[in-house]
Amino acid sequence: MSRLRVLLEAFRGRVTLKEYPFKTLSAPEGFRGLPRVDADECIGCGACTLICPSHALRLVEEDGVLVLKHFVNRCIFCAMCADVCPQQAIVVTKDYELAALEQSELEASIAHVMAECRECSRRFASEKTLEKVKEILGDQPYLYLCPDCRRKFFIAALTMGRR
Amino acid sequence: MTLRMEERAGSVYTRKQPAIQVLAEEVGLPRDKCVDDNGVLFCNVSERELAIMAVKLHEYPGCKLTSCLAYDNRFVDGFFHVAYVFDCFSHSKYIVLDIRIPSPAPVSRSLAPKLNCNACLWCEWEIRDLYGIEFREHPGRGRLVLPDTWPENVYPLRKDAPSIKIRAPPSSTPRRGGGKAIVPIGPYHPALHEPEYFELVVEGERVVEARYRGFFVYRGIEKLAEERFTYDQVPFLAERICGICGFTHSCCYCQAVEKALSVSVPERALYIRTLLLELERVHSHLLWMAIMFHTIGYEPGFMHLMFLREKVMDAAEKLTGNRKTYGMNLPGGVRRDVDPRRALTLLGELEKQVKKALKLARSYLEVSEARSRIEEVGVLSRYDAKKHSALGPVARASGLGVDVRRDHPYAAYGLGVDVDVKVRDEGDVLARFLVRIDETEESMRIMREVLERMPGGEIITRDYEYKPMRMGLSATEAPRGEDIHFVITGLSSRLFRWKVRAPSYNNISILPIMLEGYTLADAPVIIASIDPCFSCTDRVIVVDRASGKKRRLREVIGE
Repeated sequence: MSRLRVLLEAFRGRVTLKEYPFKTLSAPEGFRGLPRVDADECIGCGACTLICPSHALRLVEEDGVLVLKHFVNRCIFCAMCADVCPQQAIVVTKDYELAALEQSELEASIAHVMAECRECSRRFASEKTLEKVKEILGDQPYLYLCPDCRRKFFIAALTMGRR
Repeated sequence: MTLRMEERAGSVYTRKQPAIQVLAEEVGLPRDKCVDDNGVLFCNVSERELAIMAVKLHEYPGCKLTSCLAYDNRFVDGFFHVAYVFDCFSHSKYIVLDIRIPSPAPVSRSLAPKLNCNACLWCEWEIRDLYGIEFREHPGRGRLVLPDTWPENVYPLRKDAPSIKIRAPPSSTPRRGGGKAIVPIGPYHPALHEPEYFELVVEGERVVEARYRGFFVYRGIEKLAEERFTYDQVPFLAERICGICGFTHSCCYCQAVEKALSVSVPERALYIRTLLLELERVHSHLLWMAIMFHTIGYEPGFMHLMFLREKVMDAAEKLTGNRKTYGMNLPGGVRRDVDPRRALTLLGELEKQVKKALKLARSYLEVSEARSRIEEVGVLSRYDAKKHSALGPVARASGLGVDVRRDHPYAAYGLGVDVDVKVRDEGDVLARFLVRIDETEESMRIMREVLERMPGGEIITRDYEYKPMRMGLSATEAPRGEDIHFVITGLSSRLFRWKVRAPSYNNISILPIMLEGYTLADAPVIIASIDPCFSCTDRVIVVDRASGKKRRLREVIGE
């Protein structure tokens, strides 16, 4: 009896194959695919690089230019970067067809102009980040100083009165 | 919430006194040395007290040793610590007996021969490999976790472990046969997607001894988390420990951190976690059933069940944004909301498919060719199940009714979502099959209940402070059994210690007992029956988990 039931089930034809890739399959609502960084919105603050669990996003300095690099092949599609981005510059798309022939196709980078320190003229952060800070906090005396000079000046300002 | 747990334990086990008092009276737990922290009793004991108490606790009917772990505390108090974790399921408590071991040449006394427990044998062995703590009278020879080529006197989980660049020459371990034939399988089985090495010692057709050498994919995921990840990045690593039950790992990790930092998680987040945990159980059990049919050579069962399981995966994709329930958990709650009304429609559709799958599975089991392969095969008695600390469906199919969801309620199970624990007494592979079928049904019911009762409100809280050197132990019921995560928070948002004990760890250590006495042809079936997850056991990143074909287990006590 049970054999008969199994046989019946086997004969009940079911087409499980889909004509992919000849017909595109759309991802469902809320699917987390490739995160895309909007180059105009991005200010190069690096919040996404700090949260990224797989270090797929990195902020590197190359010849005086600050570059935000996205290595898609390291990405685990957790969308934490989109959550933390202060500019909402990162959008999670439904893009899932990410196969590539070359490693370079899986890298995206956004270059940012770096600000120069007013004291030692060292380049330290992206200009856009400083603009954003200025927008939030107003004009700050230490804003255009690199971290080292900032520390130096701050300590000097503190100890000045005592000397 | 703590009060609720007490009430529940009372109603189920008709005990009115607080657990610590009962345990102090019955097994002599030193009350003054214990701290109760959210259902976990942390006790600092001496080595002598441990030896006495461990035996009493392990023999106590409602209690068993479930794991042990170590942490290198030399830079804090100058000692190595070894902690034995007891699951006191009749009192809804975990008991952690913590001993201090002086630092140069650390030596302790092994509990494994005293308790005669394979789970204990393995975890002490692992500590010896990774921390270099010597256990006197420990029967294991050679290495369990580290490869044979690993240099001597280098213990990777010590805080001062050097980085290893030089490889020592491989050692040649002599093989013992003693006139009996050895059937080797591995190190990479062609039909499996995971590396493991089994040796079955056979006399004719009969397996007389089974040995296992695993941990080929031990890559030190715990060390990685301690060194490179911040505590809120670790969930994304934790869920990649297993390709099947990832959510339960990240959930368990988050709970451990939440306990350590005393975070109160919003109720809605707890309900969403429960929903996804059950969804994961359904797909895992369906996958196991399919692979079990595949293992016994009954392909119609495999094809049909895999087809229907795909519907569960689709549901997961719609709920969490991915086929696997990844990227949902963070300490403090979940990241994505679930709309109960939409989810209920989805669930209604899913219920039909799962019901059909279970009906099919039951009718396939009636087919005599299929049934005779698994009936009265690989029997594990209740006595052995408790003694060697079997977990999950393996324990429940042997009549040992342990289930973390009921015994140590977490997530929404502690908020009134009740679990009917399915237990069978036969202890054979068929019983494990039927237990899983029943559990899948129960999971579908729980999912409906969760969605109907889901409260509104926040899904995540960020209202807590990260504090260093806090301890947290948490357990969840993974599809394969009790999953334990132990966390000590460290400086600069990093973990000081993270220990993972996946359920397959205990269950694989019991396999030799199930295999002995059965024929060679039964071996693949028995091994697949525990739903082994070798990479979970080795704690590593894996994409897929396969079932067993021929395998075999590793040196056991008294070899």
